[in-house]
Amino acid sequence: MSDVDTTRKIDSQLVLVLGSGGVGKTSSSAALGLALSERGLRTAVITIDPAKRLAQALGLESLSNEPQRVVTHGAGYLDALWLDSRTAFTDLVRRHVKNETLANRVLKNRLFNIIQEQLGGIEEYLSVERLLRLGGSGDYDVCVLDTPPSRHALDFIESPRHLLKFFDDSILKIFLKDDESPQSSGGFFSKIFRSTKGQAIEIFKKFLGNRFMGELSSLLAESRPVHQALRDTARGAEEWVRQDNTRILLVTLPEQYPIAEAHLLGKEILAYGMHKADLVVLNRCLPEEAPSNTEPLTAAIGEAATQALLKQHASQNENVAQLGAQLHDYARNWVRVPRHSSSQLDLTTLTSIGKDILRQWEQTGQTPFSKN
Amino acid sequence: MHIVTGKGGVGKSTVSASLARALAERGEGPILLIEVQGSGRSLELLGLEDHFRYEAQAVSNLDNVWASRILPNPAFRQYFSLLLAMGQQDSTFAQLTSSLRERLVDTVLENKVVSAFVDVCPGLEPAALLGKVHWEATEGMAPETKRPWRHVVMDAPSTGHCLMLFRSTQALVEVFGSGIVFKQASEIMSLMRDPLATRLYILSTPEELPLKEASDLSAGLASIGLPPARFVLNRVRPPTQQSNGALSAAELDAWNPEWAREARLEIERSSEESALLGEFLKTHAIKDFSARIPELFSLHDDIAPIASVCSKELLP
Repeated sequence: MSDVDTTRKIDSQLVLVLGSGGVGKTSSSAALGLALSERGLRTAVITIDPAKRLAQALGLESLSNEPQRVVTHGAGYLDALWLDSRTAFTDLVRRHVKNETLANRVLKNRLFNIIQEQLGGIEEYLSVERLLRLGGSGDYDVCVLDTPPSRHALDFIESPRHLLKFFDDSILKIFLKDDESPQSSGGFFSKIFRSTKGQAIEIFKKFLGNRFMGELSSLLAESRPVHQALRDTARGAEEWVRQDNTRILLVTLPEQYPIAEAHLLGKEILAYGMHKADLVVLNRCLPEEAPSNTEPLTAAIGEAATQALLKQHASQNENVAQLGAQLHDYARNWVRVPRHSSSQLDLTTLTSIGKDILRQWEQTGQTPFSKN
Repeated sequence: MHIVTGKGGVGKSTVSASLARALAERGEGPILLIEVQGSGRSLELLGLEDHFRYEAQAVSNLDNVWASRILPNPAFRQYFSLLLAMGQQDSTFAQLTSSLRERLVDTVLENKVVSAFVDVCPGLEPAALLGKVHWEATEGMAPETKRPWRHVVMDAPSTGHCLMLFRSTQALVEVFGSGIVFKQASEIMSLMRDPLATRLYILSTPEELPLKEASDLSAGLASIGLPPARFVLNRVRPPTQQSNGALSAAELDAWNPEWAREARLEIERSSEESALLGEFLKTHAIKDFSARIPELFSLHDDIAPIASVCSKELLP
């Protein structure tokens, strides 16, 4: 498998689907992908750790690191790439550190496991890397990235840089230099700072201990081949998201905090220098109008459940009004998607949700997708 | 120590703030509510306008409750300073006066390479964050009265990040093997593992993914030796109940197709929910959740009703 070819121009149109966890981002991404494929577009959807049920709804039995065909409609098709984050970092090391003994040493390094946990952004990084490969493959008109939930909207795009910080060259050189001349005395910290703040560093070193320094330094040296890949991915992704035809979807729920979070996400996107979100997708909406008479409802689901439902409805309408008031600060338009039965979530239902989103989107006067 | 965790968006901040409030209402002060990193809202829910403060600040409408948000930078500074104090048994540090120590902390932490290193050095940031929580729980006290905290409620990060905090600190114990960082990390872990000192609450909503994360989290935290978790179910809605006079499906559709659909979805949700919950209880071999907190659909941040559930069901 080839690595990211950064010299190649990426022709695929990118769709970023953003939102906090649990708002139905993955279903929305899959739905949109299905609807686009029905229009004859060659589409890919990339997701990390999807819910089993959703994968099954698309007829996919297992996660795979290769795209799997979901549907074909004439020239159009949808491929799904469901990544398993548990193997993400290991895969990354194995792919770039070709020497197996060396790769095993990296993977066995005790620090590696802490880094895996702490650096974070590994899932994000992996999805960005795969995304670039798909985008550059020439096989797709549209690539939909279902971004992993994270604290900040753009963690996924910044993840290669974030990882790179760990492997930063200036820091790295110091470690490596020390590694190459193990006979020299005093450890690297005292050497760097001998002229300046030697005493402080002596103390710092005491906290960390030589064993720790040794492990860190060998980890950095051995994982060196990964660095260039990180750099390439960072550059490629940063260029791609800023392209004019990139579409940004914010998925949220008609509830107080999810709406507040969508607002924050939207602002972060602007601050990053990208354009306003193209569309806010409000998932799981109750009907706009309250029922005029609630007796049939009470008979069907009981008094308590009816009261809860009506309360939810009232609060939803207030929240949606709130959304409408602030929307144009950070997004162009919004669409409502009704609640759906999760047990009957199948290809047909998902496709119709996707078509509904596209239809509402186009009614706003935009042309979100056009075939090349 | 009360540690509240669970999947993102299940209401950790609300429950943490409610727990602090419930403890205060029972007169079990002084109480410190700590929000660890993250985008938590617990301080905001307690009505603190300045909810980004690192130093404990009194919650105005609740006697005996203070709150603070742990930020990595000041936490690291405090941690480092603490390590220096611990290192005083060591001959290198023995002669240092406290002002010299402060200056040393400045010199070391302001050094560019050191700060870059601290930034990326695995395990140090989590250890500093948990180190601050540990310090508050063992040595911290309420401002002015100088009474030690009776309860520290930690609004912890969600699943992955929370596991990372504990695992990295544990890994420091294993990787360092000796020295000051090792000693400090070991102390943190032993407090967190003591079932008499620490209570762990795993929060979930009655939905598939949050429940699955609750299971994973419980297994993950148990594998690091944390005490068995109390599972708390948030946003519980009343089960649906069909009465005898109910309309047939066709009649219901004729009445109002949109709301007929919602009624069917509610019935389905309700039965799915009880299946999921039943399975969860069976998997974890428990009779019921430690608490079930009803969904309020509240438009305003009134945590009083939740605090009263916490008081009744979570506190002995």
